Amino acid sequence: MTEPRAGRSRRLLVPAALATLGCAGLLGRVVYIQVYQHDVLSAEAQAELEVDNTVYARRGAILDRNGDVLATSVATWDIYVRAKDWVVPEDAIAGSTAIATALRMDAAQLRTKVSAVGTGDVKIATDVDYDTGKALIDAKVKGLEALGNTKRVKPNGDIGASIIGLLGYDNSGIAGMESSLNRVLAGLPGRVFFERDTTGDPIPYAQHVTHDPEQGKDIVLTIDRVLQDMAEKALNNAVVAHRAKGGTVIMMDPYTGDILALATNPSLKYSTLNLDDNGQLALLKNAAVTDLYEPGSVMKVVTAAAAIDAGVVTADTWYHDSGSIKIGTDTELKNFDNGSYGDQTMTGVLQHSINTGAVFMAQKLGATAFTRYLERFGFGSTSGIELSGEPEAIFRRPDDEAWTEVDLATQSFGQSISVTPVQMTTAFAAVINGGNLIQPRLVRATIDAQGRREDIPVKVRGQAISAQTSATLREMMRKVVDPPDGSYYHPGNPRDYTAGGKSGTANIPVPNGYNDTQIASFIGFAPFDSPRLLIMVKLDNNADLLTGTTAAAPIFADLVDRSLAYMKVRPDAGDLVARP
Amino acid sequence: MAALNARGGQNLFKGWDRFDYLIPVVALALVLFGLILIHSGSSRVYEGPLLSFANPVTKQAVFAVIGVGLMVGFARLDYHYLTHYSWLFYAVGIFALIAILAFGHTAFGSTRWFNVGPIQIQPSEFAKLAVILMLANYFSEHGGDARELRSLLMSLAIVVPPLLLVFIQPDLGTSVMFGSVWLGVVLIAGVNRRHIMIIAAGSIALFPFVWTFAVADYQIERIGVLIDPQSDPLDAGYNVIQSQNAVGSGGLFGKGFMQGEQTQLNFLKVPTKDFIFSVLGEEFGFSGAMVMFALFILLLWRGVRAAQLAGDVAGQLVAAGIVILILMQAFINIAVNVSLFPVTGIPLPFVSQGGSSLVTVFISLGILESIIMRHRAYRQF
Repeated sequence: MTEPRAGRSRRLLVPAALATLGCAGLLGRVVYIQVYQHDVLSAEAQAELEVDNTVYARRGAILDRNGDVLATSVATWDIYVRAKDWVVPEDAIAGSTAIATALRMDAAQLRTKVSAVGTGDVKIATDVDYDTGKALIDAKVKGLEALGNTKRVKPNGDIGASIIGLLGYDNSGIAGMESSLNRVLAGLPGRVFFERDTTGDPIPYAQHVTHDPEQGKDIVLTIDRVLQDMAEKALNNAVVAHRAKGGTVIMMDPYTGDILALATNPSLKYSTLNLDDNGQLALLKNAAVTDLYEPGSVMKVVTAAAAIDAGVVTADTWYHDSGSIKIGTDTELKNFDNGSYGDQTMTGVLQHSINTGAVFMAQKLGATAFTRYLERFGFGSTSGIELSGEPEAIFRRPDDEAWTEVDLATQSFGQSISVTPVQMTTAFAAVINGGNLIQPRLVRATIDAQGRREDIPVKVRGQAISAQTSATLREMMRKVVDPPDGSYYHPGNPRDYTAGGKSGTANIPVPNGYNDTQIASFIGFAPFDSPRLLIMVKLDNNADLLTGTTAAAPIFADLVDRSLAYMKVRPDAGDLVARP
Repeated sequence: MAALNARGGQNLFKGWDRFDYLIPVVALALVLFGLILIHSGSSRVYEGPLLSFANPVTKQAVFAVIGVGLMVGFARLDYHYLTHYSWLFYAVGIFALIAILAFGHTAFGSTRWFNVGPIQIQPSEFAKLAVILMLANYFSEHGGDARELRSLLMSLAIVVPPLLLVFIQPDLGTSVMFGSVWLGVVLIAGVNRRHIMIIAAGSIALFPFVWTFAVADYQIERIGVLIDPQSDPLDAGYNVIQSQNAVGSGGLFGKGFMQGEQTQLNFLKVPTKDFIFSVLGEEFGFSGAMVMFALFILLLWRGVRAAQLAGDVAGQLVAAGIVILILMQAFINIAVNVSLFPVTGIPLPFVSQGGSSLVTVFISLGILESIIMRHRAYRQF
């Protein structure tokens, strides 16, 4: 057998070479997996072991100032169907019949929907109420998968919607207080972390970490739902009556800054909400907080307060109105009615809303001092209200390059200065409450899950004017709505209460001037002796072109009569006053 | 051996001094390795006493003892008896493979086993050996090589029936095994280079038809998940991902005996059989894998040596076939574990739990020994 032996080693060569090649390949692969990819694959293996679950915290409720619930969360179920459980027709019919009956759907359509998707879990319904869902779970309907969810309910319907806001599908706030105070309301989710085996059970003695969730807190708003309803209805009626584009009503406690009602039009409404409509997205902001406007003559109150506080004029300082005033060389400013009022006191300037009188006061004060007073009244900074998206008031200051004497003059009667309704109301509160610039607020307290209430203190941002100036201004505004000489009737004078206030009718600025659209507003307080309410009424673009006095002031008077009665404030004017 | 010698007599030939002791030593080292890994891999499933036939470790050890006994027996037996009667083994093998399709036990979607009491017998294991013997016998009786086209085609006719029968079980891995054994044997039997080229070209031409009509969807899926296991992580890609994670997370030195989470927490499926290498990779790491590689290379080296020593064509081809059989099984099994080959149920020889496989490989070693022991004796006559 010597002959075949010669060929043997040669023949063995090919398979041996192949085997060596194969072994080298395997070896290389093992090195690659065990050495090069070790970290990646280790992490993958560890990740398989780990279960990291989020434990959601209870979301706090939103209450009105008296504890009435405005928004709260209730447990619901999201219903899914595992499509593969319905592959057998009998299972599909039994399952779909049970689910369709409970959810008031059509069983055949349900089957079509599930079979159309074919695989995985098919979402059937969200936020099914707790009892209905529980009954389906207890009935062990084939293919049913129910995941716990929560739904936000608003027992008061649309009342206060623009303040309350709403939640997104992830149960996180996307508008209003739900968004601004989301962290307080939502709390912090907890976390459960453990290592598991293939059946998903925790492995004993392995890592097991649990953080309890931090439960959300209830928030107590400063809003009174009755006053809010009153304000919303009054505003909506006025918008219709005056053919306005919209408007704002703010009711504030001038001493604490508590906003008792804040109505906007247009407003977010849960009943007609459709987030797929891009036009409705604008409703997610609260225009009273986010939108700037030129306040117009209402501003004369601030000008007067500044001038009197600085001592350059008094309420009884006389000046002569010729109907117009020339600023610099080529600017002539006129009164709103192009009339002239002759000799007037500063009170008269407010009563007749004389532009030249406001310019007179501002010029006596000087640009620098006037600007300093504007800033003291909070113009140029945000008010600090809890709703998000608040801008700062815009106006030119003497150190701005483009500033001219005209700016000082126009600012004195509320043009060339843009503020938000909330900021204007806050400045007004400082005028009448003894001079304190307070931070307007929508939240008075929080209540944690254990029921512990934490009151939020009133925050005073500074002293704008002296208490004495404030008293003077109250008196002057009283004379606006109720002239002592009875020379005119003012529609802003309430029937049952003493009050004070000032109207404003401002043209809406457009590039390079103003057009004939306007904003009619009125801000006033009542009762005179100790003001409980400061109310702003503002109508945007009222097509009937009525002024602040004729359009907005009557709404103010009506709201004063009704809201103070609701607040059980003793009438101090008109027929209801007890006579000796 | 003393016992064997005690039988005395002339015919108890003196080949025992040529007995290659390294072969059983290495084989037993691999078996021991296997017992350790089976213990680790079965700890979640089996919690009874150590010494019970229900314990997979004990069961495996018993089969190893039986295997060693058979090895000694086959070493003593002249392998020419085996090649001479190879047609009988072959016929029995084919018959068993046909019968299994009718009466066999199905597991993991495939029919490969006979249930005999507590033992499952997998006839394809023995059929592989029968095919090797049959091929060796054929070539040795027909000119001693495969140069003639007729010889080559006949050898193909021998290997195709069992190959097809295991393919429809379905058992792609064992089919590949039959193919590899045939290819290895004809190469060593000196096949004409032109013939093998033509067969290769023919196979490539046939491939699209096989792929379309004969390869099951699940097999195509298994090939697909090799490339992207995440495409189906919970089904077809599951084993690929889990074995990669196990082997990869083992790193250089492993997580330690009984410490591998992938193994101990049941992420690995069939951790004592098809995926036993993953257990090794996870718990003993790269170093453990290298030790096992070394043992296999040692064993195969001794097998190649046997083929070179063989006194005749039959012995040489049988030895070569056995080396290829063991090598290919180890190769495919490890390749599956490191995601180089689609998932298929090929055991790791000597290591994986499984009596049929263990007994067959020990018998193979016995035949190898028989060839070694007789090389000089044969040539003397």
